[in-house]
Amino acid sequence: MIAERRSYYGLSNAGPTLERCRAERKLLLVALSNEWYAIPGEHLREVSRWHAPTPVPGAPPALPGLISRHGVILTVVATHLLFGSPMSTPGRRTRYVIVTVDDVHIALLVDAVDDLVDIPFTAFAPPPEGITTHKARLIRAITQHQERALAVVDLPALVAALRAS
Amino acid sequence: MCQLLLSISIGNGAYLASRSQVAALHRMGAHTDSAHDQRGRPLLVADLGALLGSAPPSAVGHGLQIDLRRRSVLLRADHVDEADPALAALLQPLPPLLRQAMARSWICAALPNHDQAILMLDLRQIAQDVVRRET
Repeated sequence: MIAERRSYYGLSNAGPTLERCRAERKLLLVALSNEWYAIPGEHLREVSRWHAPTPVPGAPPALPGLISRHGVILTVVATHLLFGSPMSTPGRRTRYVIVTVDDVHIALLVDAVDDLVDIPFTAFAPPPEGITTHKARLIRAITQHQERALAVVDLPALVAALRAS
Repeated sequence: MCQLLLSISIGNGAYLASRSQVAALHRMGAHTDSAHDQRGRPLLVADLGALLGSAPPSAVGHGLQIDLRRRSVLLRADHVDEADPALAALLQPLPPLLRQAMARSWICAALPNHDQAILMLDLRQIAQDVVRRET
């Protein structure tokens, strides 16, 4: 059952061997407006405080600019726009979640970061049918943590959506 | 190969550009808007701040002359200076994800600067788009 769920949620070819051998998945909990999402730990590189990105003329609204972390230029992704959430005014809790998907390094703009948690594979379920097609494409699964509903972000799909836009 | 860079100030923003793209650097004055290129054709004048979406410059001080095949374009900025040549080695190409999504190819590289990035302008591409817009 666990093996089936791991396969369904893309764990068979994601993450290091050690991660695949475990019966749970490490997720970073992040907030977009009043909704909670989970970023798969195998893509996670760093979380940093928000500072205004350098806007790039001619860039689409979903990619509002560039930041530099440890001497590396990163593209900022306005995650709200991709998930149809209202854009919040950046504040003290706003963060960049820096992830790597294949060779693409991006900084996801989120309203807040809560915790890095382990969630058992048995707790994952397919996305509900009620959500929009576009949003459904970016969500790998849904789950719960401490009575909080979480949508697990499909980062390769998110990067593919940005490439296609 | 060492690339000579220019530092361009517009409002509160700072940009870099390759010196090799600039035919001449003008100090802007009352006469400059009606200046002509070497073939006697009037220079097409455009404000870099307005093109890049920055706040309009408070005092336009310099003009960067870009010579194209048929026309020359004068791009106005607050201030232009030579940049430290050592910066050229630190330039990074624009991330491909962003480059592919851009409506205009006006930015060709970026320089890490603390937590931010300084954009390197492709002045020739900007000038070509100015000419296209005018004709």
